[in-house]
Amino acid sequence: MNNQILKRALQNLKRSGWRAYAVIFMMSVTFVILGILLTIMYTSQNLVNYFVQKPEVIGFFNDDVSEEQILNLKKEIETKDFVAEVTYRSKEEAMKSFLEANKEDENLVNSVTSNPFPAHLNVKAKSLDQLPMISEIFNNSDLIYRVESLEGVVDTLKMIVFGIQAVALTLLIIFTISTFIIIFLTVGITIYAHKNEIIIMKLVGATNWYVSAPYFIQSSIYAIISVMISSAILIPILYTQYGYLLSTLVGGLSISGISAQILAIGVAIELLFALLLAFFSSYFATRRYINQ
Amino acid sequence: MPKKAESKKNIIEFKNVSKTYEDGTKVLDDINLEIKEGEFVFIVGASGAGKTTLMKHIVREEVPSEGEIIVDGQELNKLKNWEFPELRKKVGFIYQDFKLLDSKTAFENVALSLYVAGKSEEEINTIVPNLLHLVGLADKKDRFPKALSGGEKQRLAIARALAHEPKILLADEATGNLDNASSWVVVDLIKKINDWGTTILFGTHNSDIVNTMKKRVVRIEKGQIIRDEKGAKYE
Repeated sequence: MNNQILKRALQNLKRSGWRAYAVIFMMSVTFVILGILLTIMYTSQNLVNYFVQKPEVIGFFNDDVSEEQILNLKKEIETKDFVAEVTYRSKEEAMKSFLEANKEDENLVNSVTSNPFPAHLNVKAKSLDQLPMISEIFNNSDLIYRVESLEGVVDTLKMIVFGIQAVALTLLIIFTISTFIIIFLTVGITIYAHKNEIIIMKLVGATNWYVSAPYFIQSSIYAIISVMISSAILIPILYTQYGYLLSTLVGGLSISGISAQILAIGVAIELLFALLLAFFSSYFATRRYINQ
Repeated sequence: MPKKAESKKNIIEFKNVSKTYEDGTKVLDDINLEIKEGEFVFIVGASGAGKTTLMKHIVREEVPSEGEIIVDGQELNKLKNWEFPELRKKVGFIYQDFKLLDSKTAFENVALSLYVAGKSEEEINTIVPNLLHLVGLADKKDRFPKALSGGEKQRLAIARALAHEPKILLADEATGNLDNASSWVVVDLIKKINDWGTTILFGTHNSDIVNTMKKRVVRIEKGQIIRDEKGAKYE
């Protein structure tokens, strides 16, 4: 690249003063929101995937039902095409599993004197839409006193996720448009301040690219600095607090955290978005003020 | 018209060129003009007659409403936007108000033309001192325009206009802001440039200069050429 173009770009940056800070602030806020949006999308998608991959119905048996009756029902269910797996857990195993899961809470463990846990069959369907057929088998059986199913949960979850994403996306659009306008005006003001220089450069044979290039570089530098700032804010939080937030919100579910690789992809997406935003706003500013 | 010029090809041609602004003002009216390579032509007329507009058409700063303009064999109507910079490198332009950058030194003002042409620092460091020497400003290369007299500013503008070694030099009221002595220094310099082969179009209403130089004179009034004669007097 022509040294003069770079030199003029750096000079423009220096002379932009408070306008440069305003642009960088707005862009940084936009990219923090974009980062949060990407995190929400990543997490919600993982959450939905978790439930979609676990299409199961649990049938809890009355205490007076014998193990033989339960195993007969198990056999019957296993013959169905839509059933992927059936697991039987007796009252004793259910109790053991509860005590194991809560072994650190002595008060809770000591409060359990008799076994309140029912025997149950855990039936996994091959797909989510087959859950009602399994529920129907349990509901038609006299041996079962309660049926638990994820039926409807995934749909509700998808709706909640959609709502959150819509709000985040709206915020992102608002901030993107604001940032676009701010870059457009900042570049426009810088161009206006150099009006004479631009007229003279064009008179002595400068191409539109030679005149415009510094403004593209100027806004690209804003974009890079803003992504660096937003990453410096978001990455430490996500890296240290994401697991905690996840366990607080959906504790007990084994949903994967955010790896360094995922963070790197996120930053790359932000950088690409930032550069595109910088490019288009400078393009329209230079087209409006220089290339007309 | 000089004999040596007659054998040469036209470097500028205006064919039935008219220019009317959106508000209906007609500033050029059916202009037909041929200028040969190496000619020195005065474009004279009162302020507002159309001299500047005519010259601006040559560098495509203005676009004709009608007619055709050919510069160095190129039909300007057919030029694409990206071809204008090349055209402007063939045509140097000096103005009454100099159009120098106050924030740059004399050296940097001339170097600007070369930077936009993509010349290397090494070439620029060779060419600029030569040009400043040519216009008599070699010892003032580090001065900013504010520290130069009117005549020096105009000579600096000439040095900048010559940086691309243009085939044509347009001087629009180049002596309009100068005292008599400085005006003649600038005129002598432009004459010297013409002697080296550059075509000159000198827009002025300074009758002393026109009458002393005895060159071709094209007189414009109300956007029309009313006289075109070699060695004509202008009163």
